Amino acid sequence: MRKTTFRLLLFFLFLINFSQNSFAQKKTLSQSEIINLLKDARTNRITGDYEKSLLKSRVALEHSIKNKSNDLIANSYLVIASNFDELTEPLKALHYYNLGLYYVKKTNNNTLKNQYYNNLGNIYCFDKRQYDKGIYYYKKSLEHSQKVLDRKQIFLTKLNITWAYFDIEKFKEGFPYLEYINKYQSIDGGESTIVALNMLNGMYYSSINNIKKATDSFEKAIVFGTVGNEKSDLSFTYLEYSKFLNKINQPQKAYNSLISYYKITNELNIEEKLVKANVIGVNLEIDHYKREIDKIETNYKLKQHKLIEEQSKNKKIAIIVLFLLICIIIFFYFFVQNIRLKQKNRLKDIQSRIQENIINASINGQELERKKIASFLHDNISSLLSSAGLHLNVYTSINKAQPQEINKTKEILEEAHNQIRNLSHELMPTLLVRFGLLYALEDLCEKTSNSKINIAFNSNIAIKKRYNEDFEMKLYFIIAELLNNIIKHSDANSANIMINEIENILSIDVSDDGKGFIDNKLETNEGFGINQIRARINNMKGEFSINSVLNRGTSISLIIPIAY
Amino acid sequence: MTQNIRIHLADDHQLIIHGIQTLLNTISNFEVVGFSLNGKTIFEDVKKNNADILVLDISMPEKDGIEVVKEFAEKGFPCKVIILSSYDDLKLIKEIMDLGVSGYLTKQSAGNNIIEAVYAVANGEEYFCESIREKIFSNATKNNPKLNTYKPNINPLLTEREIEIIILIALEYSGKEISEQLFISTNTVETHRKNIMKKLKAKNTIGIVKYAMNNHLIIS
Repeated sequence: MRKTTFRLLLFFLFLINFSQNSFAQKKTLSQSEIINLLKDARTNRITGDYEKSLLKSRVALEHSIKNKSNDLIANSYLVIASNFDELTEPLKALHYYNLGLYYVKKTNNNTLKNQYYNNLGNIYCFDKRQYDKGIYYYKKSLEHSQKVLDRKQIFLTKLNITWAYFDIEKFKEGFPYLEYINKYQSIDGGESTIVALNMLNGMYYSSINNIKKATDSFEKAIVFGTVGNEKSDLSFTYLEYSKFLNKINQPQKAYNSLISYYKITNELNIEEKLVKANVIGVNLEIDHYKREIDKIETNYKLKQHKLIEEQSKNKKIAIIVLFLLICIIIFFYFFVQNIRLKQKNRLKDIQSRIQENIINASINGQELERKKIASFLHDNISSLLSSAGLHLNVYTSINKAQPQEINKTKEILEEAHNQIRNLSHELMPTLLVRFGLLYALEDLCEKTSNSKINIAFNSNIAIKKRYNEDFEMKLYFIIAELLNNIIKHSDANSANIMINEIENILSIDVSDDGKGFIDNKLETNEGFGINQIRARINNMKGEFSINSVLNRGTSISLIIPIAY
Repeated sequence: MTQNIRIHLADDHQLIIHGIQTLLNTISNFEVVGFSLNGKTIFEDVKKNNADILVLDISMPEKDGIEVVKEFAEKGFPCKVIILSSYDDLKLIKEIMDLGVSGYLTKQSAGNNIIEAVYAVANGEEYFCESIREKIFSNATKNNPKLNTYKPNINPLLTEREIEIIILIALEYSGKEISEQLFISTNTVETHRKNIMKKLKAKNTIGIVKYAMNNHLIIS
C-alpha cells in the first residue's frame, strides 16, 4: 500500500515536472518581458550579483532569439559579455561581444552600437594591447555616440582614444582628442575622469619636454586620485609619473612613485581576486553556460538554416513558375503577333487580289472594246469607205471626166481608209485573228526588227497552231508589251522570244542583251506596265519571273497553262 | 474580145457589192452574174452560174474568204479568184496566194484597179494592186545594199512589174526565189523574163543584168 502511494507520488512529480518543462519550452516571453528581464540582469551585474545576471541574461537571449529581435539579442549578449568583462575574463567577454556584434550591426540602435564598440575598444586597448584595433573600435563608437549626441559618452571615448594613442606614444595623433577633453572636462567630465585627464596632460607635456607643466599635471592627478580614491587611474598615474621622473633624471622620486604604483596595483589585484572568489561557482559553470548558449544559437541557426532552405526551395519554385509564366506570355505574344501578321497578310492578299481583279477587269474590258472597235472599223467603216470610193470611180468612168474635186475626194477617202486600216490592225492584228498566236508573234518579231535591234523568234510549236482566241489575244498583247519595253528602254541590240509547249503548258522566255535594271525600279508607268502584266498572268494562273542583271540584260520568263 | 467575162462577187456588205457591180458594169464585156453575202454557198453559186472570176472578200461571217479558197483548193477551182480585202499583210497575202489565188486587191485600191485586175486575171496573169506590189518588192529587196532607190528614166515599154523583175535578176535572185519573193508562180516569172528580153532586145539573162547596171537600177 505504501509502495503504491509512493509510486503515485513519483508519477505525479514526474507529470508536474514534465508539464513545467513542456510549458517552459512552449511559452515564449514577450519583448517587454525580455526587456524587464535584461533590466534585472543589468541591476544584478552592477550590484556584483554576476551569477544571477548571467542566468537571467541567458534566458533573455533564448527568448530574444525566438522573438527574432536583433535589438534584444544584441542587448542580451551585451549583458553577458559585460558580466565577463567585470569578472576580468576579457577573452570570454570578447567572444560574446563578437557574437552580439553580428546582431548589433543589423539594428539602428546607435546607443547599443556605441556601447559595443566602446567595450570592444577597451578590451583591445587594456587587455589585449592591440591599440590599432582598439582605436578603430573607439572611433566607430565615437561615430555612433555623435549620432545620438551622447556628450558624456563622446567625452569618455575621446579620453580613451587619447590614452590609447599616448600609450603607443603617438602624441601627435592623440593631441586633438586631448584638447577636446581638456575643453569639456568641466561640462561632460567628473571626478572619475579628472585623474586620467591630468595624467594624460602630464604624459603629453612630458612628450614635448615641458617639465614644469608635466610635473604640475602629474601632481594634480595624484592629488585628485588620492582624494577621489580612483585606485586604478591613480596606479597608472604613478606608473607614468615614474617613467617621466626617470626621464628627467630624478631616479629617487621615480623609484618612490613606482613603489606607490606597485602598492596600489597590489591592492587592486587583491580586490579582483576577491571578486573572482565570489563568483567561483559561476566560473565553474561558465563552460557549461557557454555550451548552453552555443546550443541555443546552433538550434536557432539550424532552424534558420531549414527556413532558408525552404525559402530557397520556394524561391526556386517561384523562379520556375515565373519563368514558365514569362515563356507563356512570350509564346502568347508571338502567337497573337502571328495571327495579326496572318490577318495583315490575308488583308494584303485580298487587297492585291482585288487590285489584280480590277486590273484584269479593266484589261478584259479594254480587249473586248479593242476587238469590237477593230472589227467594227474593219468590217463596217472600211467597207463604207471603199464603197464610197467605188461609186466615185463609177462616176468618173461613166462621165469619162476626171474633175479635180472628185480626185481629191478619192485621195481623202483612200487616206482615211489607210488610217482606219492601220488603227484596226494595231487594235487587233490580222495575223493573230487569222493564223494564231505564233504566226502573229513571228511576224511581230520580223516587223519590229530593224537596224538597231534584231528580234529572234524560236518555237517548237507548229507555226499555225491555234489556241483559245482570248488566250491568244492576252498572250499576244503581253508579249507585244514586253517587246515594246525592250525597244523603248533596254538599248538592246538583240532580243529573243522563245515559246515552247510542254504538256499543256506554254513556257515563254523573252530576253534581251540590254542595260538591265535593278529590281523594283521597273518602268511601271509606261503602257501596260509590269504590274499589269503580272496581274494578267496571275489571272491566267501562270507564273511570272524577272531576272535582270545590270548592263547584261533582262530575261523574263512566263509559264502559263494552255487554254484551248 | 468577143466573149464576156462572167464575174461573181462575194462580200458581206451589200454596199460594196453594189459599188463593185456598178463599177464593173461600166465595162461592156464584163458581166456580173451573181453575188454571195456569205462564204457558205459560194462554191455552189459559182458552179451554178459558171462564173470566170470570183471577187472574194476575206472577212465574212460564218465562212470567211480563206476557208472558201481552201474549199476551192480541195475541190478544184471552179473559176479564178481575186481577193478584195482591206487586209494588206504580206504574210496573209502569201498564205492565200499559196492556196492558188490569182489576184489580190486591197479595198482602197479597188476603185482604181479592179477593172485592170479582172482583165489581167482573165488573161491568165497574176495580179496585185500597186500598193501591195510595192510592199512585196520592198520586202523582197529589204536590206539589200545593192538596191538603188533612185529610179532613173528607163525604157517606157517596161511595166513596173517587169522593172522589179529586172532588178531582182540583177540582184542574182534565181527564178524560184523571185517567184517566192513576189508571190507569183515560176511560170509567171519565166513569162515576164521572156517579155523583158524581147523588149530590151537582149539575147540572154546577162543582157538584162547589163541593162540594169547601165541604167543604175542597182549599184554595181
